[in-house]
Amino acid sequence: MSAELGPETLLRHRPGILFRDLAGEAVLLDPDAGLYFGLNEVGTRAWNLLGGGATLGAVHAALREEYDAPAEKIWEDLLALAGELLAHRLVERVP
Amino acid sequence: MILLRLAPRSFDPCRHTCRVAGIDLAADVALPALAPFETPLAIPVELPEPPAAFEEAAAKVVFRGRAPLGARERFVEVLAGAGGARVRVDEEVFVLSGDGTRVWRTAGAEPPDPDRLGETVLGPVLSLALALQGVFCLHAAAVAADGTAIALTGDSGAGKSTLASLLAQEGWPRAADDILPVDASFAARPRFPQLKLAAAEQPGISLPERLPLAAVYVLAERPEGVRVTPLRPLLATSHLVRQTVAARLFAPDLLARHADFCARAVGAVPVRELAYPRERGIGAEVRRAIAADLREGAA
Repeated sequence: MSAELGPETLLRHRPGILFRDLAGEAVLLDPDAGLYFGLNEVGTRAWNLLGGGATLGAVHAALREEYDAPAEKIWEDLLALAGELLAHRLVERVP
Repeated sequence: MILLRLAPRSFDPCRHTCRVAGIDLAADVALPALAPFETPLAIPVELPEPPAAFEEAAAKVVFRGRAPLGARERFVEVLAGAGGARVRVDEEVFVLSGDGTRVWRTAGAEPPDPDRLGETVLGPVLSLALALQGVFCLHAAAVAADGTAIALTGDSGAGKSTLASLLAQEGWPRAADDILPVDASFAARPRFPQLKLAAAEQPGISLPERLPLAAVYVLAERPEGVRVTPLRPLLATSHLVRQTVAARLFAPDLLARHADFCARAVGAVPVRELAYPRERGIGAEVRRAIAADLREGAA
């Protein structure tokens, strides 16, 4: 899945997915599937950026500004997160 | 109020009344486990006939499978439809109104066996009815301390009941053994039947109907000594979600309300890990650690 994702990939929150902020971290709930998904601080930031219409590349750029970690590591982690969000149907690709 | 019609072919009014978790409950069949919670009611309450038929074709399967109930596994199925839910536990079938105030038993053993029925009615059925009214039941033991409730949570075998007993010996009476209802203002409602305890041992009877929930402790073992550690909000929320009775039976809209409840709870009530050695006489030290933790939190 992650091989298909690139800087121009646009993902959006799937309708009906609930988001609850927990002091910087967050929990997502798909009520229809009964699925809970936890996001740490960086994951929460990425989720919010995706919700604002940012491509994966733009999310990566923002996270590089905000977090002190190698760019490659941030990209790897972001791809892994995007893959999980897609696999659990919490986000969907924008054609 | 919750009205329970448990004998489908009977037209007895709901004359067996009690009060549990701060809510009046009236049933047409007396359940022995509710005897300690009986209250007088001047006029037996009539319960209208159940809905003509639960709209099964339009209902969504919320849960279908085997689940532990009491000492054994039972077949459980929950369907959620417009205006209500249908709960099946083995051969027993119940229809609940969407607001959790009406419960009809529509199929099952005739005549109903009150002892066997109690396990089902006071387990998943009542837990679901209370949740629909915004009162969620935690898998928790609890003690009462200085006008508040302290919840002790953890997986089966974590030592919840044992620790509650030890703390009771240290002057904090038990408030719950296995199930602790908590309402939307995060007050614990200790007057609730604890099915593993005899009628004479029900801990909540002598306590106020509502006690502010001072903290939730997640139990862990630590041979080196007692330690209290705050849980990150995400972990705390995850724990509360997992430790809610019958959460697997919640339809999507109730799941959403439950998620809100747990997220708000974590912001309002401290959730900590309480790790301690499993050794004799540890009750006093655990009590001191909890008291210090609560004082620190209040400061």
